[in-house]
Amino acid sequence: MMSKVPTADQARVAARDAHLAEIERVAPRLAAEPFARIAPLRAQAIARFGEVGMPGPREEAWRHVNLRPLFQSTFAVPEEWDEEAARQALALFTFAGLDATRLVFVNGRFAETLSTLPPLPGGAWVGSLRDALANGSDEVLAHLAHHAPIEDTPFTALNTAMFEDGALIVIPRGVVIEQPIHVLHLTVGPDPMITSPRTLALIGEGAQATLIESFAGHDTATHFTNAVSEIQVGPGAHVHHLKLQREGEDAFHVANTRAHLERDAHFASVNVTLGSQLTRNDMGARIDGEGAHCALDGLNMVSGAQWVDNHTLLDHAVPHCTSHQLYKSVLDDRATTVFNGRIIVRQDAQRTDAIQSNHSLLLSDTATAHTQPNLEIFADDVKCTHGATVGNLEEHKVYYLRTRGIGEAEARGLLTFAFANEIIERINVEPVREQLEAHLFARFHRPPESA
Amino acid sequence: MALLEIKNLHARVAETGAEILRGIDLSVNAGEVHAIMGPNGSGKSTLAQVLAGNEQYEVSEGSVTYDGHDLLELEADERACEGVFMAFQYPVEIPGVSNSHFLRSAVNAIRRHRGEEEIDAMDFLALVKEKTKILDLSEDLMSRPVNTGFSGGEKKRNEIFQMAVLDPRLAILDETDSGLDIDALRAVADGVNALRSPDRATIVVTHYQRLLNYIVPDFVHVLANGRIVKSGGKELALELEARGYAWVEDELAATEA
Repeated sequence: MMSKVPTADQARVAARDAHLAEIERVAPRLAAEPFARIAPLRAQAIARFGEVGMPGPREEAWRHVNLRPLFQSTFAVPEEWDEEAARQALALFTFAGLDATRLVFVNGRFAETLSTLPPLPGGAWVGSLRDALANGSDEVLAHLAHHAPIEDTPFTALNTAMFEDGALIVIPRGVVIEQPIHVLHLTVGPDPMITSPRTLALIGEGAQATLIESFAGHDTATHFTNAVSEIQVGPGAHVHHLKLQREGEDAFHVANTRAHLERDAHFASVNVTLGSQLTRNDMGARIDGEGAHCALDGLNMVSGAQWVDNHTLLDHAVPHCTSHQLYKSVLDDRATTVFNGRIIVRQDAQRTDAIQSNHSLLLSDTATAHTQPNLEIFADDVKCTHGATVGNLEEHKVYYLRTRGIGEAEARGLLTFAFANEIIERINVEPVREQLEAHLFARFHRPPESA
Repeated sequence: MALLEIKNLHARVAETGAEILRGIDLSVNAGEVHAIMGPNGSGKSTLAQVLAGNEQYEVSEGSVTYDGHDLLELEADERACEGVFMAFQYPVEIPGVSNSHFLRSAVNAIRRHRGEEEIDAMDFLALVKEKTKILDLSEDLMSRPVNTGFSGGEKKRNEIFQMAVLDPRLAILDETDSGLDIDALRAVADGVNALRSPDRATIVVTHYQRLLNYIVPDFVHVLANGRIVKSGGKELALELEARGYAWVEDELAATEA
């Protein structure tokens, strides 16, 4: 049975080799002057990726995602990009009325002319990671690849080997940044390309910030976005985080987002997936200081043959911390979602309060939602709960709306809207929330034409 | 002609076939308040649900005429559009949609049914403001998700608030008093009383006489075993309070024997 090498394995090996060849091809760029100080990290990342290769279905963490289509395409590191095309695309993916510090990356490179960088108070700094590395920041080197180490996933190693720029956000101790910081990664151009977006956010003690990471593409090329984000939340710091994925329908999107929470830190993340044919999100937080609170929420709205695989990880290392997770999916056609929610409560993490819920709403008979809670609890005085539902709209809710005069089709649309909007409501930035609500509204709640 | 005319109504649970209503006769005129009382399991809530159009029940016999038309022919939403409203015993929570959005959808559905223009945002706000005052509700209730995180009293008041906005001709209150403390009960009753009108008929379904101290009915009917076994004026409620339902049931058993 084991004698024949399946073609799936050959495809994996070929995909790895293609990426290694591409790294080799652009090696001079990756070894450019700004990256001199991370040369050893790069070398380790390349070695790591070469060693582990692309993940296969026999690995537990990748069992429910079919990466075959990703392996069958070849992706090049992009060269030039067309500013006019980028500018047009950008208009589709910004938010009306949003006053934000905006960092735009086009095809993986910082686009200063498309960015908005108002002066920030208190020595806060938002800008290109490449520039920061060129200027040799020790703080950056101490954190980069520390919260999302190359061992996390093969794709994390690949990103670390390949990224050419990224967003760096440094909010010093006690500084409150009222305006959201919007990091927008845009992919434009017809050719299949791989981009490696990278974000490092260092939020100091008692500081406060809202970080929006959005990923977008407006055309139908088979782009591959392989993102890594690391967010360090200092003692007593408050961070709102939104990850919004609106890539083109043929795109591949893989992202590893890792937060590290210190004492009394608050980190609230909303992870919204709308686009791409295949999405894999690893969203994790390590809770490393007492009194910290972490909320990881997510919404997938998928149709056609879209496939979304979300793996969350909450690692409770210390006592008296809370974590809440609510992930929801609305699936139509033949779409598939996977939710794997792992909670680790380490032996020292007494009086942890961890709640995890995953609810999926199936709008068609051919959609599939997988849900796997994965609780590893080593402390004895903890409160950990998880719950999951997969199904259709609840008929008693439909009935309630109908008794108020709302017709059946509209009632179902309104309830579908409500189901998804429960997550969108948690976004703390009003113009973003309103735009996404309007999107949901248009998609699901269509009242009949006026008489 | 009566606004609502129920004749020999029999209804059963669709799934199990269990018969709950066994021949109800009831006539309700505009402007009247009728109380339906009875012990647990007598069929009070089933009657309310059958009138509202709950598909979990099927009518096996009899008729319900509303405003001269066959009510049972209509779907739940069509009944609502024709002016039938039921306040739920257990109002449904709908996280993700605000009270305001929900209610505006309902108002517009009803307006479309009547061939009217949809309500514009300013008029809707004014309407809501006026009605929240009647029920002494804070306006921030409108931006909260429907019934989500509401106390028991808030949920019931929200039902009456919806009734105020939708302005039905036939209002059915299904055990609106259950689970309420006296302050919440008074608030709900005040709301219902404020909405009494010569054009509106109200059916108050309740297990307890207590509510009827605040919403004084014109008629009281006692339901037992799926039938109205006794009807009278408001004094009947007091008698029931003093003597309990067993008295009516015993009397019934004696006549049937």
